Amino acid sequence: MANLKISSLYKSFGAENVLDGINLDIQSGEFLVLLGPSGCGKSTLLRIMAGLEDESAGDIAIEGKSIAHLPPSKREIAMVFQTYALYPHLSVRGNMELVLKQAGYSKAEIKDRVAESARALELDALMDRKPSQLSGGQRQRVAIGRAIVRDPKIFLFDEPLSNLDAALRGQVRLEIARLHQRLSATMVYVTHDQVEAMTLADRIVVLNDGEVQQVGTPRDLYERPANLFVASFIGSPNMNFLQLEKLSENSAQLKDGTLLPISNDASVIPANVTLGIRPSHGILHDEAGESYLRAEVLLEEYLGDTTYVHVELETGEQMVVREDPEITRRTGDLVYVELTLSGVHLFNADTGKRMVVSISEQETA
Amino acid sequence: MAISRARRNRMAELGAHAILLTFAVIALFPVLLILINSLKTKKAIFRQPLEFPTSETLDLVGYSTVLQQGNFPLYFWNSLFVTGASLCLILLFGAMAAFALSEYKFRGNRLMGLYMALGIMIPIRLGTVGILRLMVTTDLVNTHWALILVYIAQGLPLAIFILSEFMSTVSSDLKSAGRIDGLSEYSIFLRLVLPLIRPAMATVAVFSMIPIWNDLWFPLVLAPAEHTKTLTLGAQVFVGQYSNNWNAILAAMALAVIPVLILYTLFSRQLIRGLTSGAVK
Repeated sequence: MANLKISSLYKSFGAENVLDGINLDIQSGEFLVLLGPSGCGKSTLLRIMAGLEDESAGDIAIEGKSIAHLPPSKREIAMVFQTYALYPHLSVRGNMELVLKQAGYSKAEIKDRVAESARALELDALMDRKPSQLSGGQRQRVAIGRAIVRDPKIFLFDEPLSNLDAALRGQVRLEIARLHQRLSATMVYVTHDQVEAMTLADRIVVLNDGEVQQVGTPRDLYERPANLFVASFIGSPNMNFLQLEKLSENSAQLKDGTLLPISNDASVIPANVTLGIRPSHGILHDEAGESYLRAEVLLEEYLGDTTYVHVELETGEQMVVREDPEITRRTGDLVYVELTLSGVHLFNADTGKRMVVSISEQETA
Repeated sequence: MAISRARRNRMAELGAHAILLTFAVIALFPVLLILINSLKTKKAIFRQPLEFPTSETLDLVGYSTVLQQGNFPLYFWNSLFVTGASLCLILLFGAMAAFALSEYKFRGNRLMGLYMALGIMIPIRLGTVGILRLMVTTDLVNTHWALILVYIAQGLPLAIFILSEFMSTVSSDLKSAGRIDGLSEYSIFLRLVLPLIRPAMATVAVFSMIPIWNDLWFPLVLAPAEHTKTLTLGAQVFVGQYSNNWNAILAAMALAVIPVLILYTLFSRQLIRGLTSGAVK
């Protein structure tokens, strides 16, 4: 249990800036997820925390003490890798003992600690097997066990579920969540999978192009994305984006002329504004209505408990709307899309920044 | 359809085996010729060179000459020591250099790799005069070390080239895990990486061993003294200016094959084990 502070961290390979001034405060006992597309610098950030890679500038401190100059083994961190990285020539027991032997613990204590971790992760039956005799899920459990035995201040996970098949992924994800509850340890978890991020995280850090886009709880990120990148990255299917024709103080006009009674906080209204709305905030109607958008059905995706309908608006823009699976739509059907005003987001299209939106008073009254 | 495909496969297989068998026969024929003729009388060697020894032509005079005349056991030991020591050091230094080149990013890394690879293209014998002068100056002529040092230099380029390719395939996560667990760079090299590239080490060992064992040039130039003569050089005593003692030459050659055969068997078993360890679950 420890807090971790990263201040103005930079990393560049040659002329390319991989990390561009990262500041993060990770609370003691927190489960922090670094989320971003591949190449956003999240793994590099984790490797710098572990000491496997040198930072170009900046500092990392655990409980106020800088660890930037320490080698990986002295940082009191443990890391779980995507490829498990078990020592192939050692048994499960050997894999778990190695770090304690290196640290110079007594034989009795090594035995106790390994036994305790093995019990916690239900590895008892596998202790004398070699990694090559284990399944993927078991290997990752051993890797986690190897991290636990050393009782680290901070756990680092580098996409630990990416090499597992879908069924196993859910199971190991649950084990990691339970592990965090039980140990209440500080954990930093890197992933590109938003489902893992949303389900595991206390807080998520969204990274893109080496910069922090937003830090917040999963709910913050989903409901109040700070910019267009976060809005498009979080949520599946993606948020729909429509260009506004004109935004005024108390209304927003879409390209097809539809007026929406929403107001915003901008002191100077930007010239280009993008409206964002999630598929779950659109409602399809058969009849026209006020502020409804005329659209044609392109495709229906039936998923059992829900259906996603892809439609094309008169402006040529496309949208996805979630609908009750009882209703079926056919390609070419004419529909009218109602946008739930409480689900409307506005972004400055030039800077990408979020604008605060409220439903105009005169309309709701 | 399925039947004809199976038949075609059978045909292809037979064809492949026919080709392989042809090569094997071509490669093994001289060895067999040496072996059968080393067991015959001199007359029989010249009259019926392709015949197996019969009760009349069987003669072990070649072997008895070899084992009695000359310091043959000593030559044998010299060859064994020089080859063994060179091989161990080539593998050790080659693997270490390959690890450094593939694992650490430093200025001039690429250039260093190219410089090392240059040795594959330039035959070391071109430098014989320089090497001899060097050995004379350092007083190493007629010692085992003169040969061992030269053979290390000769073997390293290919060893580094092959091993660094294999080293770069070792998972970097594994090395990172070792670093986090507190293993030193030497432990990571010796305990994690080396066991994983055993097949490559076996390949390099086989490729390096044979030219060293068979070499005549450097023993002749650098260590022709009686106490440092290697097997190939020692066998030259049976080659005369006017007549050759064929029995003895053939017997010496037959004996010289044995250690190579043993080492090759050892390494190739290692090689197969290394190759199948990952594939068979």
